[in-house]
Amino acid sequence: MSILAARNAALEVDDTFLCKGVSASFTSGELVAIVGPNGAGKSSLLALLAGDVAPSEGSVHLNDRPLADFSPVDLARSRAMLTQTNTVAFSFTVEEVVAMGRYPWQGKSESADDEAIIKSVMTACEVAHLDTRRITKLSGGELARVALARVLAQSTPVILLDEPTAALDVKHQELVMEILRERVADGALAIVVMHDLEAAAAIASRVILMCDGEVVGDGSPVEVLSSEVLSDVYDHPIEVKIDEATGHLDIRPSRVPRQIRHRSPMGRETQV
Amino acid sequence: MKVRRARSGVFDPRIVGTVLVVLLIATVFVSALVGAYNVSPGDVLGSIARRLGLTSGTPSDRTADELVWVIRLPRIVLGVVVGACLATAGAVMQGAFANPLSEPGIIGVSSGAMSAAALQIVTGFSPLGIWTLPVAAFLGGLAAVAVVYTIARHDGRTEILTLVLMGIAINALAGAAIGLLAFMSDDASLRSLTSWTLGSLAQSTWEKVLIVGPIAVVGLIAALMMARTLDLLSLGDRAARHVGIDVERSRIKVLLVVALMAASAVSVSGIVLFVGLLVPHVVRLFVGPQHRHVLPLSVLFGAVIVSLADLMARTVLEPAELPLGVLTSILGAPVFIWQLRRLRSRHGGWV
Repeated sequence: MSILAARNAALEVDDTFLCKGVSASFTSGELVAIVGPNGAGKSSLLALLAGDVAPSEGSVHLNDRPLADFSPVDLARSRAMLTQTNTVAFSFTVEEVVAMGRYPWQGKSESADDEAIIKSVMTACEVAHLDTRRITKLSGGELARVALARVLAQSTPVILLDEPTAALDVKHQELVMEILRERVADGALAIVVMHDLEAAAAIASRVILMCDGEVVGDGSPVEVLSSEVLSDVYDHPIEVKIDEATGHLDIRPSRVPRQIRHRSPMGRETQV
Repeated sequence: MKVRRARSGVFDPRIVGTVLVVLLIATVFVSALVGAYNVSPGDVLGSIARRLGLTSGTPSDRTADELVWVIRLPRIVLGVVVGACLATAGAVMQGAFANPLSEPGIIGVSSGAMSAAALQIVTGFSPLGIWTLPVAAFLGGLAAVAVVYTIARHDGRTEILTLVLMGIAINALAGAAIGLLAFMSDDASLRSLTSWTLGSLAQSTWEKVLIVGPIAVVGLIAALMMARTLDLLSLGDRAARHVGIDVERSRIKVLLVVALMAASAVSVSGIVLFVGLLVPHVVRLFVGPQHRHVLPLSVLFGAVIVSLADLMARTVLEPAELPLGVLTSILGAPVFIWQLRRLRSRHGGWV
């Protein structure tokens, strides 16, 4: 049974469709990567799934109830969301910020575990040593991990993440991926917007490829991430090889300089 | 980098609170004693005890008795109310806007309340009796804060530049409206309008205490109950919604509470600048940004600051009186500029 489902959902802003005709249902235990070029509608889709914006057409259902029927607190007990930017206006300590993730459980029996949960997510995200530091004094990478810890502290069955690894070094990128794998193994649904196609292929059980606001591919990494489709969608030659031994995808964009390639029109953004 | 203990503050909020309570009691007591006519502590206690029916008989010094009860005490009480309201309104606005530069005076909420109240004074239109002035001030303040809030917000954040520019625009508009009203008014209302525009507690009566006190108390209690929400709003609107805050509803609550408190303060004392800005700043430096500490301590600290400022306003140039608003601006502006520099380097720039 699906826990989260978009049914022909569209998002129209100022006569432009940021997302259109998106139908996808998600079940617990899935780790889904949403990939696609800039402006493909990945973040818009995530905002629709999070209930940040109401779909202009169609609907999004959580546990078979339309998102519009949920109160903000009910929603916060079911889904957590990590946005791309995570600034905090005042100089709260790291621990205070992580504790904010427990707000939806205030007054519920679950709040008995607050302290243990806060401690464990801070350790998992490697920010436990920063507990008394002020949030305004952290580096970008530390800030991103604190925000992730806050999101995980919400302990929701659905976790939505918008480029959680963008600000992180290699070690911490892998750390985040490992944490997500664990959550999913415990039965959570994680939907992650990613730019790194290879990482998406390595970690996700399912990949959704978007282009111009529409879903153009939805399936296992091997099904969706083919040379032909990716080169077309990204408007840049991309080579995909399968490592026969491990089954891993090796995704390589062409690094031949533009002047020599004469392929993509000038001014178009090319992106990996 | 220096590592602090578990709390985000430097001092224990309970200790800061106790110090402020002691300071407040001391200021209030000295205020009752000192002035153009000095009275003894016995006169003050006697005067209060007699009105409360604790003692009977005639006072030893009739002038002192009347002076304390009729002139000084209502003024002291209103000073406490105005200070508590301004400081708390500032703390609530700063939290809700996720922006440390918000304050009812600078943003134009006070002048919105002021121009509506001035209109009431000059026209003399009073369908609600003695309640008309505070109600007019409330509506004016609400209109101003709603306009500022709507225009200065973008993507769940308040842009400082837009905010300050909106404040300039609204203050200019309100200033023009008040100027126009002053131009049209007769001598008597002109005089009361002028002393009031500068911010003054000189015309304090028990009647004003009874009108404004309850409004202020409602506003303060509502503000104190918003502590957790304000904490979470500092994540920005979007992230606050993700952790379960009903941002739209909290926003409306904030508008009402700020307008209520600004109106209470303005209908007593006109515009008193900087209290709402500085008090929460200083409190945050002492105990950290958690609103369950910042809000109650702002109530106390605001009350102390305005009581102290009013004591100075009426004693420094004795027997003449400085307008309270002039005094807080003279003292507040340099502190504000110093704080700006200090905070900017501490926090690595504004939001």
